[in-house]
Amino acid sequence: MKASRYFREKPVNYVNQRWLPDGTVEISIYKHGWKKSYKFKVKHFGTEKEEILEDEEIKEEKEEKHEGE
Amino acid sequence: MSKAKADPHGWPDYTYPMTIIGQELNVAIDIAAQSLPTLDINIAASAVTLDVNITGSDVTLNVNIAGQAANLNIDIAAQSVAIKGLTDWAAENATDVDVCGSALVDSGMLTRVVEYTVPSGKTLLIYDWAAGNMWSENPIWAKLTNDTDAVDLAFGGGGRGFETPFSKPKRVAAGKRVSIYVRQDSGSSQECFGHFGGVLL
Repeated sequence: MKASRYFREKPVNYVNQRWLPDGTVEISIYKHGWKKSYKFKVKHFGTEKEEILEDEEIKEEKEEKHEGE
Repeated sequence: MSKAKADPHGWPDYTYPMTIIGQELNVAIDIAAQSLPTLDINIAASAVTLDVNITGSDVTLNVNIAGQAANLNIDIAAQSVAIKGLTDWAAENATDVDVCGSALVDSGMLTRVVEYTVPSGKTLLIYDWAAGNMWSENPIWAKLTNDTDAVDLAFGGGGRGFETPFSKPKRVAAGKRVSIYVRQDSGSSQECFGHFGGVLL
């Protein structure tokens, strides 16, 4: 699952957002047990015109188990 | 002692007014009924043991009390009692969540620094929030808002920032978007941050 989708649909423990002057937002998410945090970058964040610019694929054993639920 | 009468569905109804007096009693009661309108249990004894043992892979114990007046008195005197309040229970069973954000905030402009939408099927309880100016000592003020419903949850401000714990958590339902907006009036752009922490139930 992509990080952006995970952020919207699943509970995470930590969210860091950096709102940049060019109107984009860099977001990283982290969940207990993960090996690392995962990032994605959005333009027009939180609006109908939201556009994902960069999006990491989450590769975690815990995540894969949850995918099948 | 007892009476049986015909039921429209064909099931017999039983009424057993019963008084049992004894020095030692073992009463095992299994009830299977379509409805159980009243089950009065009055126990008066010098020593009482009421064991409720529930074993199952999936157990739901719902206690619903509806009444014009309800008094639920629980007095416990013991050397050790394990009852967990919501905060402790949530720390072990809920998903703790902390959302941080920062942005370059132009002077005089209310600017969003945090945005979070509560996932489907979850309820967010916010226990604390904070905002501040990362670059200088200039004052800021901020608001914590449920954007979806256009409801402000809290306001705060401070010399360079503030952190506010809530005496009761702010509850936000699934699908609702929570934001923190910050404003500073220093006359120049300043990097400001916001944070809220809570749990997802």
